[in-house]
Amino acid sequence: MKVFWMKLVNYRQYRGENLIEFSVSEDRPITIIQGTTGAGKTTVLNAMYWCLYGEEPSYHETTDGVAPICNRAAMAESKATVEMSVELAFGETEPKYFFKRKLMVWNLDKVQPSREVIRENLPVSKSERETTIYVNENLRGTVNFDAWTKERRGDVFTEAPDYLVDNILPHELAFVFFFNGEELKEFFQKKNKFGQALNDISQITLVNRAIDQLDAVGTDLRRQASKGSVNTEALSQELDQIERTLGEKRSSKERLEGELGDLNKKLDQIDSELKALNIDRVSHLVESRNDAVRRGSELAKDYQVLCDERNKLLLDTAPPVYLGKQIAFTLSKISEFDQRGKLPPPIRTVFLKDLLEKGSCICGRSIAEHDASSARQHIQRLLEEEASDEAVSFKALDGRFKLEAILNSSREGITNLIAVGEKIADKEAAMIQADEKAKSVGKELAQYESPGASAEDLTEKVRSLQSIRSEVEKAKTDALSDLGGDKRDIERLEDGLKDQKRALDREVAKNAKNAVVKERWEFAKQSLEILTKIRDDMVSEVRNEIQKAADSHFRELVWKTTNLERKAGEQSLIDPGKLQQVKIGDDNEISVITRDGENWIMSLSQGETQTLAYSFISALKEGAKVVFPMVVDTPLGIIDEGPPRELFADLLPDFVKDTQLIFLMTSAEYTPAVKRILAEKVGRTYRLEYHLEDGATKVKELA
Amino acid sequence: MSGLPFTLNPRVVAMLKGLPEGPEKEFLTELMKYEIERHSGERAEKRFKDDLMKLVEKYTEEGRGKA
Repeated sequence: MKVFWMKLVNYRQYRGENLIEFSVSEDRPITIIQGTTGAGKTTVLNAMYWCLYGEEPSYHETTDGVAPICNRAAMAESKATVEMSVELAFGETEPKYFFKRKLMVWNLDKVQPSREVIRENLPVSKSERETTIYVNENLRGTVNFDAWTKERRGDVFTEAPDYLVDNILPHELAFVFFFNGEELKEFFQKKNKFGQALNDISQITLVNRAIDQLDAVGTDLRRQASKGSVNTEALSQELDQIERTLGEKRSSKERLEGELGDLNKKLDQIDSELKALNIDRVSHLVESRNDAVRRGSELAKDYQVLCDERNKLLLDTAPPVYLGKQIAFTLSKISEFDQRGKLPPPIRTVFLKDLLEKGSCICGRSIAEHDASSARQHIQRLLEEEASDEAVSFKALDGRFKLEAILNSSREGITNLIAVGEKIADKEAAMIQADEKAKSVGKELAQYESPGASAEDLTEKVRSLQSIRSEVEKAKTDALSDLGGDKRDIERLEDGLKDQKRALDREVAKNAKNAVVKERWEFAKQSLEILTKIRDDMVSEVRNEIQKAADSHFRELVWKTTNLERKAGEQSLIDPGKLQQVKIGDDNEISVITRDGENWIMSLSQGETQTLAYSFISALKEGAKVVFPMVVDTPLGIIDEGPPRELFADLLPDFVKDTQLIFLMTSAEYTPAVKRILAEKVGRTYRLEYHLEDGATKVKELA
Repeated sequence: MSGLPFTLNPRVVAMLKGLPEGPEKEFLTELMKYEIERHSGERAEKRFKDDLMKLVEKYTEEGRGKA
């Protein structure tokens, strides 16, 4: 699916009507829209998104009123109403699907005879799909969304435009096709967001909804099946309570994870502001604090791995250590038997059996079965006497080996435990050191005295930023602690839930009165298990596919990035030759693993990180199996100017092959060198011209 | 299964197809059809749970018959 054109009418800075026709050529799939900051590049992305989904990804204030979204000058000029709209045309070889979202703004101050009359008579559609109302004090607006297809006999309007959009590009997949290049890195560093992306790419929304519904029906059936018995009713109520608490804890965990993301963003923001003050000492301190925090977080991960190892060793070693005395006592008893000649080995029995089998003694005398000689009877009697002793001796022998092995393994376990304990202590010490380093930076910044001119001003700024940072850090520590608590509670409640369900199952089974309902409940449970497994298998399949594709893209492209950055004087900490695998962990954490088992994720340069981010977006696009144009705001903004940026421009089309691309770029990004590099791929170029005098942007196509 | 529209992920369709024959397979296929109908607005949201309960009753019954 390609986008052919977009028509903007009075949308934010775009006053009146503006038409942008996109390049749809296979050979030249790129359209460049170039403009200075504030000219309306991001607005182009927002407008496309708003037209399709009724919301703007980069702004959040639209629900507060219609004013921000509708061109202010057009509103000021209007008598009572202004029309604002965005129209898009999609198709394969020619425009076939058309979408138009229109906002009619009513300025209640200018309306006659009275605002009350208008308020009462404003058209409000009964269908939520088609109309939304924005309200604020003086303005009111109605939004209409239409979609139609161009068939032979003319326009055919669709009854459910959202459904048509969903079939072209489901809302949950839109983030892969509309994004800001500068924010891409953050997206992949947030495992919650990335985990959500994996779910979205798997398109399991319908399956998840079916799971929720089936779960709800199962709960109803369980309640019905529990009726009539005091025990089952009580257990069912307790189960409900556990489920409710678990739901609350999960929501709280989700909220805290979101909060932590925001707090981390705030910390990054403050650091950027501190560095932007251009004071060498301050920038150095900020960097060294970041290093210490990074080191601390790597150490914390290693620490956790070691703690898990210690716990496992403890579980394996503790029982034999606890029973050490008893084991030693048993072994000494076995030795006593051994010394008394009872043990080992039972050669006599084997020897006697052999003689009876052969039917002749070593002296040559016949002791065959048919002879029934006294010699044969004697040997048989000896064998019976030995039999009881033999069983004991075999067990004792076997036991001795086992017990000795257990004692040895417990000795080995203790040695390992001591070694792991020492490593844990080392990590703890290193963590404390990293933490102290970060704190000392905070302390120095809090007491910072700026030398030189405008010293007071700078001192005040540094101190005030540090003071805000300390508050944010404290909030982060609190959130982390609460999150830890929630995670532990969730684990405990999940275990409790399983036990409670088992107990209820047992009780309901005793209650034969509700056999039919119970049968239905069993059926719903069984079906729910199957559907949940389908969902989990699918997510895991998609995760593996994305991992494989991202790994392959990164391998192919990181060489170029690293080499060029080195040439440009950047100090790269990685050696692409040692790359083993780009990995998505079970917790959705992305790591870049070397052949030595190290994780490079923290050592990647900006260009390498961006290469990784684009490798993932590319893999997600392939995984989504949707053909749709990609609209990228500031695709090169984060890459250093000069050769790295030029190299990245060269790589950009490689990340997303066979895709229509719309790049929204600043002049600093779309330099003459970048322009030369992309020249053969670019089909259309526009410049956004912002006119101060009328506060509006005009779109101008460049030759 | 052939009646399922393309909005259902082909992976889910394949996994449902791969299930052993039985009432659970038929039930889950029907359930996914219901979900698609609800998603497209053809099936009323309000009645959905009741519809689903009836579906559970129907296939439990069918399972008993086959057993």
